[in-house]
Amino acid sequence: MEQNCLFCKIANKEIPSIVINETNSFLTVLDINPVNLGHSLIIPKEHIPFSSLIPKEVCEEVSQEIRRLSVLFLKHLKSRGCSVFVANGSMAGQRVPHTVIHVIPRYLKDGLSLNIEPLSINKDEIKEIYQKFITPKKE
Amino acid sequence: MCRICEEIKDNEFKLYEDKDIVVFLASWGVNGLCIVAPKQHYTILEQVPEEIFSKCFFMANKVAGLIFQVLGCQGTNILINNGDGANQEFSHFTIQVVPRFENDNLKLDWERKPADQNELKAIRSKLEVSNEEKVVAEPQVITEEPKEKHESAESKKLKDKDNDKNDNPDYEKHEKTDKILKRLIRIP
Repeated sequence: MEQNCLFCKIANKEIPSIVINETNSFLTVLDINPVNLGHSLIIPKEHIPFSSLIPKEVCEEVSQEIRRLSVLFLKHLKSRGCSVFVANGSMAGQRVPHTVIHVIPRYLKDGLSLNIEPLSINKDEIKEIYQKFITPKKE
Repeated sequence: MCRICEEIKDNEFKLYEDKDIVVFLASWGVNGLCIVAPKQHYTILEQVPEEIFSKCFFMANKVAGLIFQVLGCQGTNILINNGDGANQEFSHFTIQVVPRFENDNLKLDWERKPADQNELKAIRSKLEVSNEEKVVAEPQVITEEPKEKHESAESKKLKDKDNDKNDNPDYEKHEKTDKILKRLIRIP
């Protein structure tokens, strides 16, 4: 546990929250600033700064939790789907350096837009980016 | 044919592929946008088998780390828009991994407004795990298939199919990523 980390404190229940599920590896709480009611945060208990560092077993449990929430949103909150959102880095909207997974119930015309304009990209540019991926990195 | 199914078949910029899932660079949206998708055509998350979804989600997180390193971006978002309420882009379940840069003009955020505590508590009773110990996927409520928002003409170009396979980078090679990621603490 990291001193002064908000989500470590929530995950360890030092700060009270509205808990809807808990396992050994994560805690699911309701976001107190929800986009829509039911907006949940899956918080790994371990202090993991980026989602790419979530261990495989935890990732599996988190996947199950995402699905559980999505189904409950449909069932009990009459949602028309859900959005899952993870931010890595402050530029992406991460506010606390402890990874959390947002699972948000969605409704038609609920005013939230998490979509990327599907404009076509020049193929040469993609090719260039692809080259970066396949070129071995120097250590 | 569904746009994503087409991409799975023909995309030349695949980053990873196995029998269940595929990762490729999108030819739309923003440069470096990666799409993680099950190979089989499932429309919504609830239809994707547990293990396949879990595999996609794990891979999406790994890709998020990888693009930090490869594209030198300043952040990444992992994004699932599931169902018509979420303006799902394709009639094929996908996870998007988005590289983020300063001034990239992407608005993937929302206004933070506190909710009424009583309302939150009322919601809790509906989502608590004790309420639904075992959840069986409901029949889908999405009545209309999300509209394909992209013209597919562009993706119908002819392709050298045989070329593809040898060029695909083996994701295993990038397993080093983990180590590199540990050095990537970019948040002050």
